[in-house]
Formats: sequence, structure tokens, C-alpha cells
Amino acid sequence: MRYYENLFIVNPNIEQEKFTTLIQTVKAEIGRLSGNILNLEDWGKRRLAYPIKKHRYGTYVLVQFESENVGLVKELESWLRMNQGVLAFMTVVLDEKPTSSAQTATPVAPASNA
Amino acid sequence: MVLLSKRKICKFCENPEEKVDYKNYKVLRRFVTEQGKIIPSRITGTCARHQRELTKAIKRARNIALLPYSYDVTQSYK
Repeated sequence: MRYYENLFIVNPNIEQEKFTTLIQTVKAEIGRLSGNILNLEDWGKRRLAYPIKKHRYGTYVLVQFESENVGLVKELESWLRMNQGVLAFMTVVLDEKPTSSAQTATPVAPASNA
Repeated sequence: MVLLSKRKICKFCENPEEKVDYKNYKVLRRFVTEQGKIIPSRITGTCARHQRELTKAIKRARNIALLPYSYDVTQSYK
């Protein structure tokens, strides 16, 4: 079993409804490709470090999933590429099974900045 | 930005709880210059192993716009 995570950025200007449908389809797509979703986090709207497709803001969504299907990532990415609402995405192979979801949602602020 | 004490200790070895993660861009930001360049471990005191992880994490964060590839100091980003 391999563990993956995909962080993708959605156009922040699409309607809430469309956003919800998009998330649903992503879930369905991973399910269809015999992946099992472990975590799904909506990070909300954030400022991008640099503009992507002329957007300065984006809604970040993180999906962590497991699968044995090696072709999954390729198919998922090609699907995301086709999707109009998705500005950018990145899939990373995880070394170990991801733990709780809350951990990544709010990155821990550095204790000191000395 | 980074402490310049005589003895430099790797931040990540000091605190094993803190994993190098591209998603944790707030921590990564301490290891890049104002221009967005990766600061060498010689300056930050990061050990070789963690510097390797850090480099990878910073590059990943750049890829997904959590960190900038470059930052023009003379011109503020609006």
C-alpha cells in the first residue's frame, strides 16, 4: 500500500456550490481509481506566493489517500489538469501513513524568530 | 532572521517533534532569505540531513505557491 497526498489550489471565485461539487468529484474520482481517502482538508482561501493563471488568491485543498493502484496518480493528475476550477496541484508520495488530520490544517507557528 | 550565536545547533535535531514538511511554510520561511533564496546550512547551522530535507521541502512549497520562487525586494508584491 502506498500513501499519497495531493495539494491542489482551486479558483477562489467559483461559487460555493461548484466548489462543493468539485470536492465531491475529486472524492469520487479517487474512489473510482481504487484509492481510499484518509483525510481531506480545506485550508480555505489564501494568498498565493506568486500569481497563478492571473489569480493572486486560491483555495487550498489537501487530500491524503492510500492506494495500490500505481496508475492512480497519473489519472488523477490528468483529471485535475482538465478541470477548469483547479489552478494548480501537486502530488507527493508519503513515507508513512498520515496521522490525524488537524495537524496539517494549521501549520504550527514558529516558537521563536530570534 | 537566523541566530548568529557561536554554536549553531540544528533546529530540527533540537526539536525532534518538528518534522520538515513543505506544508509548514511558516517554518520554512525562516530558512530562506528576503529574496526567497535558500540559506546555506553553514549560516543556519542545520545539519546535513535536515538541510537536504529542507531543500526539498522548500522546493515543493515553491511549486504549490506556498513560498515564492523569488521576491523582488525593491518592488513590494501587491
